[in-house]
Amino acid sequence: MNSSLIFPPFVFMIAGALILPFLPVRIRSSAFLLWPALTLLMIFITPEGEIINYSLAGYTLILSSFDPLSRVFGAIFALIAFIGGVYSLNLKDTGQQIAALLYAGGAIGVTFAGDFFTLFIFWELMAVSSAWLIWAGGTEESGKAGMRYILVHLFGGGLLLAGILIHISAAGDTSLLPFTQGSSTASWLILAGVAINAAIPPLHAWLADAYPRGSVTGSVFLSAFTTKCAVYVLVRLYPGWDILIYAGVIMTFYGLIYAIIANDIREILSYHIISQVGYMVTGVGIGTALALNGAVALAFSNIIYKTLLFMGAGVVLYTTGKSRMAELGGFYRHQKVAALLYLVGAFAISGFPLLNGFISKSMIVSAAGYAQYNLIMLLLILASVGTFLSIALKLPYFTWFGEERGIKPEAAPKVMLAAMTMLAFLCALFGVMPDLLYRYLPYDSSYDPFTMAHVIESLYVTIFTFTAFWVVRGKMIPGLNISIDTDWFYRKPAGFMRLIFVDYVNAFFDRMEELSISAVSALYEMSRNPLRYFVNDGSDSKEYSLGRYRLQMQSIISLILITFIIIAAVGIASM
Amino acid sequence: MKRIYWIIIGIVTVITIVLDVTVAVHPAYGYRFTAIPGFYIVLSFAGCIGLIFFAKGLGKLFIQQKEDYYDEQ
Repeated sequence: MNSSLIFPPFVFMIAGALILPFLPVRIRSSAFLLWPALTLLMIFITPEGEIINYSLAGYTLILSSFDPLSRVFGAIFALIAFIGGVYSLNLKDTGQQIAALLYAGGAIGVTFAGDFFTLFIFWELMAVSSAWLIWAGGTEESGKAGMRYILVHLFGGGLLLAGILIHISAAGDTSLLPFTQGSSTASWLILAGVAINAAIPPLHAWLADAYPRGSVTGSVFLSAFTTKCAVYVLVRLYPGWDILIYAGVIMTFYGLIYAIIANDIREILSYHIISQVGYMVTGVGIGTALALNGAVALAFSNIIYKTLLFMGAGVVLYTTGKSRMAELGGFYRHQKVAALLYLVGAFAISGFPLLNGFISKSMIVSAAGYAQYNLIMLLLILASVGTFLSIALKLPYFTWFGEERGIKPEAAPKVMLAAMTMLAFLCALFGVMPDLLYRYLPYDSSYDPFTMAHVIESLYVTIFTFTAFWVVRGKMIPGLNISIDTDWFYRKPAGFMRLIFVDYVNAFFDRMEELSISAVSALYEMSRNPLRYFVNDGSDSKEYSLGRYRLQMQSIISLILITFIIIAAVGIASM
Repeated sequence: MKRIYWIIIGIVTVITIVLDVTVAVHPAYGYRFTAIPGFYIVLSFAGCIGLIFFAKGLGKLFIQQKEDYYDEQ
């Protein structure tokens, strides 16, 4: 193939973001689709092993390196940007469209980056462009949440950059090779920076804080890119790090517990992202070929159905103006198509046979079993019970079914349903023909999801979780509550911190200013006539008289003379 | 929920149990706890109820607060 035809895939997204504002408003949202499509095409036609370099200030930046791992992630990012574009076809907000293109471009840039500097540049591009999608939510809440979001991510970027600089000065190498477990400060710093984006507790609170407050279309993009991009980096740099196994299992349950009690539908889905990414992180930690392939396959599949779920929640918010389950319920009859498409995604995420969760999540569970992590395996199976409960039972039950509240939703936009249909189709396609995905997986392992034991397991989980839910569903009626999380540590003390770092500091400087001004005026008074302080003759006359200072001058001159005499005497005596 | 749905669920359950006992070969790894009869039934049913009560309990304990929790400064 003629290599002059090959561009780094992110180029199309960035170019799209630059060109879009110059196109007529009418065609902007359709033109949006062109760029992810071109990106996807470029990823498919570029042969494996192709590397695109760029020299900058003595460093060779590897802008794109087409290896199997990058291609799987790059392909799904481009695909989801396309389908997200279909979902937003009715959107008339160029700012959001540009932000979404830059965000997708950043994610694709990270996945194909061949060195640390390139990775870092795109990492930061993602942080900034995605914050825009949260601000686009347009409420006061989303403004504040977006600000917290960008601060957390800039902090994470700082950790990442610090780690990268230490690593490069120590190793003298910018290439992205796996770190030896616990090897260096640099690797821990980079891990901390990546862990923020992967939403590993306690560094996760930004996700559930910000994602439910983005715009309807923005949250769809948000749910796909940041966390899965971090999973990609973990697979690339941290395979087989034991700590990730435990971090991952904690994540699966942490996200679940909040998903079970949350009230806002997009908050449930956001917390559940943490739970799902927990599976992937566990897979990376186990580090066998099957586990790593499982992490990649789950990231791929998760992007498809999680985006579908966010689209379903977006339709509810768009058509009713409500997203809290305490205010929803009973309008399934008016929104059958969206609800059914949502349920396809919900069953997919629960690992129901013939959908794509069944063929991906189980890879990690099996890998845990084969690697003799029995307790981990048991916990992961239990977590899938919680997934079915929170995503496929609680959320749809209290949103579309349940108590009738007389909600009359508007008709859902056709483009939104079209995008959901595409994703539901992909859920089924990969669920029925897993080889379409398996053949692109980067590591060498074999796995057959369609065993009788596996099918039976998933039927048991589905049936008996449903039965249990039905028995105690009265316990799950959502109330008008919010859940506090580790963002408490930077949100609740905000007033206190403002008092200490702003109000007290201001008061201190105000007082200092007063003091210095009064000191200056006092000095000024003093220096007008310093002699006044030595000559206290009772009069404050400014008139000069010959005899006025005579007595004082005499005493001073006598004092000086006496001093000279003493010095002279001492000098002569010591000769 | 309509009676017909429960009947369908019942039939699927019976088929699943029959297949589990007769055909299914459980993977040969781990402690083989997956081969214990009724393992998934107990795990799903008790696990589901356990998760709900655990999460709700934590929510009551400290996680869930009034919606204006962060506004009252």
